[in-house]
Amino acid sequence: MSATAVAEQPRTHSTTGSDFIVETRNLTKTYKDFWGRKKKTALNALDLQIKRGEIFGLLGPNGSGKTTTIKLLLGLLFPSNGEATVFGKPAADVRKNERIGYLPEESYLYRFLNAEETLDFYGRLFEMSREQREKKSAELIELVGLKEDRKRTLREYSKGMRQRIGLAQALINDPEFVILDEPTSGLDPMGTIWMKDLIRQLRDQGKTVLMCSHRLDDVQDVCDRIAILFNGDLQELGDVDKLVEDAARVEVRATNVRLTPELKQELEAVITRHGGALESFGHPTTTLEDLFKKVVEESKARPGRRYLPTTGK
Amino acid sequence: MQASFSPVFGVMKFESEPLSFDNWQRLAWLGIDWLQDAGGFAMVGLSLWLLTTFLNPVYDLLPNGKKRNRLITPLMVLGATVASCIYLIALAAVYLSADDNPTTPRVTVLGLAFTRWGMVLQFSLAAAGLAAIVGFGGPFLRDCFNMRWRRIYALAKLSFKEAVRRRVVWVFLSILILYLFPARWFFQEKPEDEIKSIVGVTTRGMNVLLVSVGMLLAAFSIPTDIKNLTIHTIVTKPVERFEIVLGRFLGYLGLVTAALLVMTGLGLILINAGNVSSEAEDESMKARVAKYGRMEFGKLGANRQLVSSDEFKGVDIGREDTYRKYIAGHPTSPHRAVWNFPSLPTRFEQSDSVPLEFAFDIYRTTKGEEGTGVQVTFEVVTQSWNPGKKIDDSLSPGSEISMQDAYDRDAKGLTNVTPGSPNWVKVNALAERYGRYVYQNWQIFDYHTSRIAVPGGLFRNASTLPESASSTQGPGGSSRRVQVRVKCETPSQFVGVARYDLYFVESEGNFSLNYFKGAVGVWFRLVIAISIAITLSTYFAGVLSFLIAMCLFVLGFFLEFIREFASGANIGGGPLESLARLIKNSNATADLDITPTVRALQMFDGVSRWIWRRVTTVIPDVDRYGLTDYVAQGFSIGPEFLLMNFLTLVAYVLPWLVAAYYLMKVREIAA
Ligand SMILES: Nc1ncnc2c1ncn2[C@@H]1O[C@H](COP(=O)(O)OP(=O)(O)OP(=O)(O)O)[C@@H](O)[C@H]1O
Ligand SMILES: [Mg+2]
Repeated sequence: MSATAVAEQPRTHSTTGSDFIVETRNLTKTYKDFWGRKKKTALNALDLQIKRGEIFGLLGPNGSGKTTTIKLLLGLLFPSNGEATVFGKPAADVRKNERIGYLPEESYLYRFLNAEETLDFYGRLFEMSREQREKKSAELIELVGLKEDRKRTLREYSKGMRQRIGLAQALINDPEFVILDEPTSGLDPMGTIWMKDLIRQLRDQGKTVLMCSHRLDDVQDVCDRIAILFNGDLQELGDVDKLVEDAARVEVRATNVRLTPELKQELEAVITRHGGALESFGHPTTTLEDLFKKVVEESKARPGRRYLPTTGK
Repeated sequence: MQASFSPVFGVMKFESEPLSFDNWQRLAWLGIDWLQDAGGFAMVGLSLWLLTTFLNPVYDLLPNGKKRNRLITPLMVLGATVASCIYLIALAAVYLSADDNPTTPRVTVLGLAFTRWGMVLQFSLAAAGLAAIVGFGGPFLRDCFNMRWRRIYALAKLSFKEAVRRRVVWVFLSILILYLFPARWFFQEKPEDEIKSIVGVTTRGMNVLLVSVGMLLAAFSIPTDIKNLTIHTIVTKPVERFEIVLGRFLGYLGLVTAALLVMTGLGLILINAGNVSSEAEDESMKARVAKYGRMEFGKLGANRQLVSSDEFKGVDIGREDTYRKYIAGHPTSPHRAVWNFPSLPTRFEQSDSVPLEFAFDIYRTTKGEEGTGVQVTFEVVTQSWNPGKKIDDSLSPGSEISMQDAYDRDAKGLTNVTPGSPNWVKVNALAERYGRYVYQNWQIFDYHTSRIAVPGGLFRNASTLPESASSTQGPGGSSRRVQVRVKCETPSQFVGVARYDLYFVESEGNFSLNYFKGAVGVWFRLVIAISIAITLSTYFAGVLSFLIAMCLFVLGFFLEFIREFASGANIGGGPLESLARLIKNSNATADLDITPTVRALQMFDGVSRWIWRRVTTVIPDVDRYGLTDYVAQGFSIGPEFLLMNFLTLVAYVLPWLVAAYYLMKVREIAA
């Protein structure tokens, strides 16, 4: 799996006045039943701006209105109040979709098609020529690592494989603005890492990314700015680094020293002298992600079983 | 023309006058009707649209910072306003025309007579309809230009592929059951009717199978897409919503069309390869192009001149079915069934003989002799035939002789000569000279199509006469160039005739080609079935869409009856007027005093009747497209006729598609 295939020259598009890809004003969505009775206000007066070239994360617990926001931006839902513009055009305008790639929460694709046919079909919807479609779909299948399985129907695909073909489908038109609803769901840790790499690459190509997730580590790793929603209300909005920065604490890391009581005493003395207090002292733990990455990489280099269970003979 | 084959009498019936481009006044009225109908629905749609989008606006931000509701265009508002105003005029016309009575002066517009206010009503309704159609159809038309074939094709191909991969195609194979067993195993019929049965059974089978499969696929496609959320990935591409409808429509239509072609081909092979009796081949393996005349009844008066008579309009023999009228038989009977042909193809003049075909019904009052049928005599004349007129006697120059006597003398020995025999040349010359040809005592045994040959000389005689002369003659004053008079010779037997029972055969087409043309009728029905189902499915769930579509389609076969019911030819007025009578205790035929209340009630009834009549136009006129009856009977289906039917199809389907366009557009896909 390499993400280099998407590395193309960033394309320049005419900007429409402002440099905001997405703007919402007072965007509100109330789900109603057939008789117009109110069922649930899923989004309440959201004001949001997404700048060109950033990775924007929508964060929030289940049912907080992330998917609702995305559907409003795509015109899958119509706002109950307020408005949303994408590329300066109303969300209901289908022309804007030419510059958008969308990966739904689940890959809502036709299961009787295989990977190639799927990409060919969506390519046609963008009025791509046959050569363009063939070239692009080969490229994307390679990118998402489904080369071996490209002739199998999607019915036989696993969740993660469907997520991958879903992503390929979202990138078929080389979009300027990519909307990813839970991009890492269903992916294995390697897949997650690959996905995050890819998202960053997309940004490096000058694309704008809107993703939503409730996996905080994912968001923290890739997003430039985030919005946190809770129960349809915007709770927090800003740069990730600023938001998570804990100004009250200081972290020091060092290599090539042994963890001795003397070291601790001396450090503590320095810190107290500066008016602080030592909270913890010890070895940093690596994350499970790092461990997993290491194991997989090593097993790629030397295939075969390594862990031998120590059960009785 | 609506044709039906009545199994009870075993006779073909053509029920209504065919639509043709010749009768442009009738077409104009059909257009006006369409404007009223479609316009009424457009007005309803427009009002609903304006109301809902006013309540749920989607705003565009204009550069000047103002907001504009993008769902409402100025054209819509304009259309709705103009239409409403004209509808008010129409309402006033309804009110004012309440004073009309049978003596009110009439004006004739496009061949129909109206009172002044009646005419204002008709045209204001049409004009209002037009305004509403412009308002409602405008956005549709504009978006049609945004559509791209490549996308529609992709969606159509997807639908086709889906149906194939879901193995729907196997269902079509069940038609083979009908094909594999010869129809005569099921029907005990005259051998000559065999092809009629095969064509009837196979096309009915195709109809049922293809219509229900097409309808099922169409009804469930978009709802399934919405349920499986697959539609989310499509509408977030630059796809116009209506392209999805159209793609699905074309995909399924393509599938059933392919199936229809294969089935038609198989049916044709079956008819050609199967050992069909030669009688049946004679009867039906044809594609005649018939030249019909106008029929009336006449009486031979003094001087052997045919006159139309008021007292003889054909006999009713008391059959429930009054399609045919009868003439009683006797050698001296003056009664004739008469067909007038005002114009005939010039190629008849160049022919040696022209076939005249007929199929009459027989009604026997006595059993008759064993082995003999009912005898009928045909007399074909042009208007130069004038039996009493004195002409120069060619045998004794200088003296005069009546045309009748001269003819009788010259025709001696030339009775019932058939083409190919050496005497046919003489018969031709005789006909050309006198403008008369007689075939005596043709025996009819049963309802069965037969033909005699009419010498081409007769048509050469007719062609020499000036056009103007031809338009004045004939009983009843109807114009003719050539007239066929039929007389029943056998005493106490009756021969039943109707307009389409006798015709000249203009040419013989190819049966196989005609068989395929008949399948076009099935195809028209498929277009109707699929478009109704798909339109409904943009709003309703799959099952419901299917059921409603099926109901509408089946109701289409009873349209005649429903129309009658809805037009309310009921004594005592509409529901409200009846109510008023009930309250006032007056009886149904007495005139109510025209008080303002009564007038308002009558007006309300008139308006509601008008609305109900429009509502019935939602039901498709599926009977119209039963073209295979023509094939079964061996009549060629003309291109003009197909085109006409195609136009009525478009007129019916287009409003449905516009409805689908709007329903799909307002549909909140993810809600
Ligand atoms: N079609 C619908 N009809 C009624 N209510 C809905 C509908 N779709 C979503 N909701 C409600 O709107 C709220 C927000 O839903 P939404 O799908 O936007 O949440 P989310 O943030 O994407 O959650 P998750 O993390 O589980 O994906 C929820 O309470 C949900 O029940
Ligand atoms: Mg969600």
